[in-house]
Amino acid sequence: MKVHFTGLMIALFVTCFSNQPVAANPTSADPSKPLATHNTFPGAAPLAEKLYGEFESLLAAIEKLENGVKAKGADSLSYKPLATLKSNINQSHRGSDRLTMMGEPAGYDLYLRFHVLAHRTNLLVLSFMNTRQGQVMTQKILTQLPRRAVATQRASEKVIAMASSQPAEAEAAADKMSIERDSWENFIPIDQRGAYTPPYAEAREAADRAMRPQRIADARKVFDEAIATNLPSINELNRWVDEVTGQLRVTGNASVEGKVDVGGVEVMEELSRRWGIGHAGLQRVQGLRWAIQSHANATSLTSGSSYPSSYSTSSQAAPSDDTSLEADAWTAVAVVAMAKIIAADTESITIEKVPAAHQRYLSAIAGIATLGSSDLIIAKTDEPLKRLAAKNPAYAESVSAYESATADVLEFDRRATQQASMTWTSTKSVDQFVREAARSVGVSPGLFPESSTVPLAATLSYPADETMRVIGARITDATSSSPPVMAENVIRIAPSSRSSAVTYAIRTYGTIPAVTCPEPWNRWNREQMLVSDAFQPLTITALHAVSNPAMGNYAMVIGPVVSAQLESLITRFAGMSDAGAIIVPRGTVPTSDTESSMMNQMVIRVDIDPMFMLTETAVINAPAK
Amino acid sequence: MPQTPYPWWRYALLLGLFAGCSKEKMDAMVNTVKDQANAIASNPTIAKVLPATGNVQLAMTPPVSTTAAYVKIHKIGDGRPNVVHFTSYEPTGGPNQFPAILVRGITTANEVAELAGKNVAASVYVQTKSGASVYRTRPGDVIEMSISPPVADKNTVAATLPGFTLYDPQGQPMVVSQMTWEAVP
Repeated sequence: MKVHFTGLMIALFVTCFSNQPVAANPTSADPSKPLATHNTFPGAAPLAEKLYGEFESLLAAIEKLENGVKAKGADSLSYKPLATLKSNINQSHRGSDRLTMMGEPAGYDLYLRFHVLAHRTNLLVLSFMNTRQGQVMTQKILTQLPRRAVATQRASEKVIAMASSQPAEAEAAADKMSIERDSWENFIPIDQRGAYTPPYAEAREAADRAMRPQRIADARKVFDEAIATNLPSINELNRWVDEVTGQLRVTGNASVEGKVDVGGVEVMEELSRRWGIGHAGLQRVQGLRWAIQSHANATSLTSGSSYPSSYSTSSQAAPSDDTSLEADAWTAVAVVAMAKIIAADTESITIEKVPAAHQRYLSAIAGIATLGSSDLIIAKTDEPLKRLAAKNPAYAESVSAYESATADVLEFDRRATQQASMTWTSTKSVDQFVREAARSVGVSPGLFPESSTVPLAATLSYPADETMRVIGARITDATSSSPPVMAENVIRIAPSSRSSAVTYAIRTYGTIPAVTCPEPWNRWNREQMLVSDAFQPLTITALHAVSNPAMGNYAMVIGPVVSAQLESLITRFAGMSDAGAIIVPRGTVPTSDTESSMMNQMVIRVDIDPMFMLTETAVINAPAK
Repeated sequence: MPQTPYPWWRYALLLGLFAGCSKEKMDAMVNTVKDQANAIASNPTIAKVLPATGNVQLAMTPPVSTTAAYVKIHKIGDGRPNVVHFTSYEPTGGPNQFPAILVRGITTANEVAELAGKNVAASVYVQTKSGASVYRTRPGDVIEMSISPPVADKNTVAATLPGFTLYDPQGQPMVVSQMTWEAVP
């Protein structure tokens, strides 16, 4: 059952939460998967795919040599395959740096992966050098190197000379020199390398110095364009709201998206759709700004040298706090627009249409409020809703009587639910659970230091696959001993969706299967709220009490984590789909909790098998499977 | 725990205080209010019909009782059924006086007087102290509440609920062998 559930959740998440290819991101079930790309810079995804492919084939080649050594000893090694390996790994390593310059954290993961491969290859080279064949090779190289020294020096000077005027050609020449360097460097004793490496290193650095700022500037241009495209336009929204409310005020209808005679409630739903698109855009903007920030802070990973500040773009990098302010402004406009729509509709509405309109607005508002900024929405729409109801005094009295007939029960239920939630005070939150399961233990890699009292960002220090192999297993182990975890703010992705999202907090988000309440309970709950097919709730609180459990929206869900996925923070947000943005409550964007580069910052997605679900006013046991 | 009744004129005094009255004005107000209270109390006709504060008694260990109880019919008026609330707290203030007890049921009665002699399928909520566990009937459980016919010279509504069990949010039971109301409409 669990296997089926996990598989289903993964499939759903790929479709609902991501623009990314199906194979993306290491999971507890398949840790070997690559990190996804957001592909803002054209060509990033194919480059990542190529490099992950190269990683796989280089890994296979290394394993083959290692197995040969195990079976037949170091004599099974020979110079040519080792030199080719070294060269290929170093070229791929430089490729990973290029990917990072495109703002892709997959580049950082690949950098770590190729680093591990380089280390394993170096161990093989060391074994080879201890063989007779290896010693002969070392002698041969040491004889040839002084003879080539003058030519090498000239080649290096040539690269340096053309670096500023012909950077691409200089880079190609430097690449050639790097390949040559790979053919000898690791095959001679370490203390003798220094005499021959400087011309190679100087050529490399000159070429990188020339190309790197250009690459960063190219990416920056693409990123700035992407930010401009994704930032929602407040002016445009205001213009649209003025237009439709102007129409509503006169006729009670508006033209929306080519459709005429659209009523006020549908206009509000269209507003919510536009709000949501802007909200998703702001999430992408935040991810893109983090990528730019990382750029600015980045040093060349493969050369290990940092570049002078004149090459960095840090002075132009937009502080990511701006996105929070932009999200505040966007939300404020959208919420005020909700109030404006009701007010405009109220002007032309006839008395007999008031009850139906009021109830449909309540229902629309209750739905929109589950997506975030609930308090603000309820506060801002309260007055216009009251004015709308007041247009029909008899109905306004019914609303007021309904409120007093349901308020006490809702208050008792709210207190009882709050008390029930105390049962789980010792239950770990998703974030605490992940933090413990994903910390480093001894030499086994994790995302958090082994012991730390302060909450720290999830940082990738080992390749994503290796990390996930360790923490994925730990999460599964922890799950088999079954400690339930507590997830807050669970929202059904869509009325027809088979899963609900656990909203993003700190560095985790998640999913649970959409569990609605058992029907006998729903029926009883509706009776308590005096609701039937003929009679709808007349307050938002009662609407939430009735619709949230029926819909699968919960304040809290308790249950064990059944699977996990590792994602990069930048990619999660820069590559956010419109539908996936439901994981962040409207009105907010994630904030950075680290001063350092965001390129190695991670997010963990968990899938939870629900045992108990809590709304504001009810605790519900998950139905038996 | 029974609640100490608070002289109602003190509320008036407090209201005056919030309204920002001067000391002199306040004193005058207090005297007027006191005079009126004394006048009401000394008038035999008014005293006779002056509403009792009502009470609710829970036969259980230890017993729980209140010195006030109210009954109110909420008429929504849009075609849906009416709801009757028997409360140990003032009907408009929410369950904020303790013990806070609510018995709630659907009724066809439009006026409190029409409740007499009727049975109401009720759900029950009890919170004895602020912050104490809330005990409720389980979803789907109903307790049959019998409302007594009116008694001459009495303007409270008497109602009785037979023995029942309520549960707190952790599932702990509270057994009540009987609940009786003398509620002020």
